[in-house]
Amino acid sequence: MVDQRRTGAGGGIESSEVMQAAEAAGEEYGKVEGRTQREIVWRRFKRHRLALISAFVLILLYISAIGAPVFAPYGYEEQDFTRINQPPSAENIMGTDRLGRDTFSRVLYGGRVSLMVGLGVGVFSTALGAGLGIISGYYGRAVDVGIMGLTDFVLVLPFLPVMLVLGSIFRFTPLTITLVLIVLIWTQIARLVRGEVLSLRDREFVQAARAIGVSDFKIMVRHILPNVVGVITVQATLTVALAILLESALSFLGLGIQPPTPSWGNMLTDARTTMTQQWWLTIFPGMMIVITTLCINFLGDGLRDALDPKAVE
Amino acid sequence: MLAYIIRKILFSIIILFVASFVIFYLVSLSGDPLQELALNPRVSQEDIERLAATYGLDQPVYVQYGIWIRDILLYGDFGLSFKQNTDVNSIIAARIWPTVLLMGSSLIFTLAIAIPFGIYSAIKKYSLIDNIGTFLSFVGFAMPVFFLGLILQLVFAVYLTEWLGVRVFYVSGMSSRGGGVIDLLQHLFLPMVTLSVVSIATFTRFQRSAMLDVLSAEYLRTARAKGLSERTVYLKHALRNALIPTITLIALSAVSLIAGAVITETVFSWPGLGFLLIDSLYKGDYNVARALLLITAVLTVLFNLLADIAYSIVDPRVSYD
Amino acid sequence: MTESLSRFTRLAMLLALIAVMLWAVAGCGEQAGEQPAEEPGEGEAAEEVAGENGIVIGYDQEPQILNSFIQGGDLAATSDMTAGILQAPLRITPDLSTLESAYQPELAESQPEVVSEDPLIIEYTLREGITWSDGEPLTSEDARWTYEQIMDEDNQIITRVGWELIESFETPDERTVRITFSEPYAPWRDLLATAILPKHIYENEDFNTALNNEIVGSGPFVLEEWRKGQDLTLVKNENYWGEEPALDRITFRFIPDTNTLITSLEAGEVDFINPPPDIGLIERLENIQGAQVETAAGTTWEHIAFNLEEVDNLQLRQAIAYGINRQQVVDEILQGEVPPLHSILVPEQGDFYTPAWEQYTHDPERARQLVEEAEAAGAETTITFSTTAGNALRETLQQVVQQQLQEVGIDIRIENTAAQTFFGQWTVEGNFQMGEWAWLASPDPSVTTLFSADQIPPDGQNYYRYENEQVTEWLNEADRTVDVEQRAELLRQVQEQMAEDLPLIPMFQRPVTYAFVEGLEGPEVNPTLAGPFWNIEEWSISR
Repeated sequence: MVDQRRTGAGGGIESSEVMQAAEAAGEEYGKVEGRTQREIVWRRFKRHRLALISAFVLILLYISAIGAPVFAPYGYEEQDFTRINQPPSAENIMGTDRLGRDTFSRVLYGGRVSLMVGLGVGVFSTALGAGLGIISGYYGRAVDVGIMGLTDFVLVLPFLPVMLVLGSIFRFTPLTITLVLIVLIWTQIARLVRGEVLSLRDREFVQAARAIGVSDFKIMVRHILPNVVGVITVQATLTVALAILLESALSFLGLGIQPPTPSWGNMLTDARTTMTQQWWLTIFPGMMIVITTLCINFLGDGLRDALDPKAVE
Repeated sequence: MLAYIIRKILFSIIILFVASFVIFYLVSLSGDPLQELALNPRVSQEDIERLAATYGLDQPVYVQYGIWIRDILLYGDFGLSFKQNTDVNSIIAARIWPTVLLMGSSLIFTLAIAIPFGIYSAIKKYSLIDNIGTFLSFVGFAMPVFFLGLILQLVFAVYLTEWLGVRVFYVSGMSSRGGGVIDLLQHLFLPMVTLSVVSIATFTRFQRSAMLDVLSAEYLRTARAKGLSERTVYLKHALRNALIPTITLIALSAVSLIAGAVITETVFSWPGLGFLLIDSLYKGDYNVARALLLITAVLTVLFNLLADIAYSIVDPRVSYD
Repeated sequence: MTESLSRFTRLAMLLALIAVMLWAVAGCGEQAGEQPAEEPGEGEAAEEVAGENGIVIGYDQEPQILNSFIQGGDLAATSDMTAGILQAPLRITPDLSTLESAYQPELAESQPEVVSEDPLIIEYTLREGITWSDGEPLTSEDARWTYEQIMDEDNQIITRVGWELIESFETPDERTVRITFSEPYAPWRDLLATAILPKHIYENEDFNTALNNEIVGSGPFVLEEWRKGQDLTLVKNENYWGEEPALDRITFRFIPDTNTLITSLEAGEVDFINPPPDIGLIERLENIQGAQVETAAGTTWEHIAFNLEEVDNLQLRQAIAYGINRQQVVDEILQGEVPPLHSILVPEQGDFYTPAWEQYTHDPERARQLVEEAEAAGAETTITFSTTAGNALRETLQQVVQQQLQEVGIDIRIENTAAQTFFGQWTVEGNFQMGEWAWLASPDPSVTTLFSADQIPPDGQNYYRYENEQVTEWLNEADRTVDVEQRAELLRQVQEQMAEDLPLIPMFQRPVTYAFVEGLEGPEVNPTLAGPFWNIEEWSISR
């Protein structure tokens, strides 16, 4: 973190931007100087009220998903044939489905799947992509050619047949879907990070570190990573949203998570033909997908503004 | 520089070869196209074996691959469809016009909205319109496509028709028999809008940030300092430069022309390539699926290569060895 | 900036509200539907397209080719598209009670005559004065030519079952056909329900390609245009030999997504649909204003199958049979639209059918006992249950069954895969324990290829790995028995024995559902493979 501020002051391009920022922010310039990077980021983030609210909503969603067994009034598989297709009521606040299962409980458990697939894919594909992107950009030459060859290869891998085939080998569970999505998604982050690193690796501070004998690994972790952490964070949030949407799209094509395990995607897909009769079966999972991805995007936007060293306030 | 490009091209060719085999193999793993016949009690196992032999399906995979790739490279022939008994080339050719129509109109629609909006948003940052636009584009991102399509169908084709008593938009299909341009537009509108919502969101955000970057650049300060009017500054200097990244994005998203609209096409029964792909995969029409996937792969590699080369020319800070 | 943000927040809330309202309109828009529209849009577009006296049919699958004899023409779509174009000596009707009512003369003058049972010789006479749509006469020579195409080694014929038993195919005169079989073949009527093709048109063409995109027949309609990916249109055959059809023009619009198919009817873009059975389908169709809905039990039957190599304990299978409440299953998933099925044939097949599985009434007590006995014998009570993914009907059935069996101490694990993989690999390789799928039944009751011990994959479709020598013998004998009474007796024995051995549990016949606009007359549910358009020449429309 400290390094980044030093870079900001020392780098040729950034200095002019800091000047602009100073001009724009007027007298605030002096105050900024006195804060740590973390404080600046937090202060900027706090100002993005929507992002703050979104973060709060997301935390709530994750808590309710993790605590689904505690919060859900019924089990997700619990069928009650005396209460089929009931509209929302005091007993079933989101109604019941064609098997008399409680929609609210299923939405909670479905959130578990959708949110965990999202988070899992977001974290791991970003880590994989960022790691390979940094290595590729930093070492260049053969390493770069190899890793970029791999990303190009994954990029041309046909998404649907891969899903179709892997689905027949592993069967679709939340875990396998997460793994498959990780393998297919990391390339974008890798390309993006590599591009950033390419323009960083010959900069003064990296050369300086190299000159005093800092190891490659340390340079990558301590000097390069902090400079791309903004890109990575924003990309990671977007990937979470993307994974949740992809899961629902796969459900639509019959390739998603298989029942009776609920996910928002397969609940929405299953209910779409009866949308005009049992509206509660589509609205609630649909709402959850929209709200979640919306919040994630707002969060990403807030983070982008907060982490952007060039941001003009 | 030249050496770098040549190396990159050679490398791409190798990747494509590997990918073509993986595509070929994966598709053949996805199920046996003839076994579904076995569901009909009147088809015997001998019948199935006999048919497998006619299509060369009894050969080892690498032999099948060899024949397939040779025909493509030598004659540009993607083989025979198992299910339609015609050449794959003509099946694909029949779907190109609908695909181009849908994708092209969606792209134009997207740009017509996204570029002015993105630029306006950047100039009038945090204005009411900027905020509305930002919010809407986030909602656009957040909607599952099939769900959006479903809602549009109900609202604009069913309820609107009932309410007006006159049909404005169609639920499904590309055109009526003997219908003219108006009829085509009535069919086109809903799938085009569905397809555009996500890309409008993307392009608006992208255009906005590109414009913001340009607005803070030094040459604009210079232009202003020269005493040029705001209008001239924006239109002559800023706009031109802010459009360059957008054009790059358009080029990169051109790949999705092939099969980027699987879901929209399915929901609206649009006879495009995306639907053809998923349909052929499900029906086990291997050669059709393989051809589409290979074409997509080639285009992906090609556009990435172009982007890479463009990048290395434009950005002098990037060094290659 | 703070100020604009709060404005932004307010705005966001407003927009969210609007979005929710829009959604609500879309979701529970029945109110909108109930408004009396002065000028209902219904039917308008369909009429524009089809003309005064034509209809548009929404159809969920595009045919791949029009030649139903060769590979690619095996889809129902091909036979449905050509139902109004092609004709056969016999046609399949919905009345399956006797073989004679199920197979009624179409091109043949009367029911074919069985000249001799062993060797089996069949003779029929074509109607007088029948012609192809180009005006040329249709003769026995055309029938023979069609037979020759089926037997031609160069043609990619899907199946030659039955045809290969034909020893001689004689045409004593222009209207008479005499077929001699090398051995008795009971399902011979199926062969006569196969269309006859015009020799004079296709004689010098390649059979594997000539009939792919255009086809000439003798029926009431001729193909006008096939716009690939979009629609296929038939128009009235001006030279038709029979009674003139009421409709001038029929357009099949291809709409693969079931939901869109129904919405298209709702929006008045199509006049007739026959969507595949689905949860809540009937309810939704009945909610459509001005639509008629007809439904009947079909001859495609769903069942729970055991892989006997995996689930080899009979008591366990009995426990499952007693543990499943089949009535509740059909009530749950189809609102009791069809009753549970009690055999491997359907009741509509008259004498051939016997409700052999009726004994397995829901008896959880007995089931629990049987589970204990099976467990004592070392049987595994955790069973995986597989079917084709994405089929809501089957997936719901699985979940209901899972719940029911849980109550008797059997733990069901659901593992599904795409239809392609399920039928392409799992059933063939025996990679399942308990499965759920359907068999398409032809009106002829032969089931030999499914249950005979010599039909275990890779030799046939006995995916159950069911080996009962007695059953195999009866099945083969039944196929050779032309006498209807005797054949029925043998097949009833087969059903009784199979109900004892329990390689499968029949569940229900898939309902066949048609929904169409008011004013369309003529559709009569035909549950067999002959499909909805078997009597298309009788359809008429008044708008």
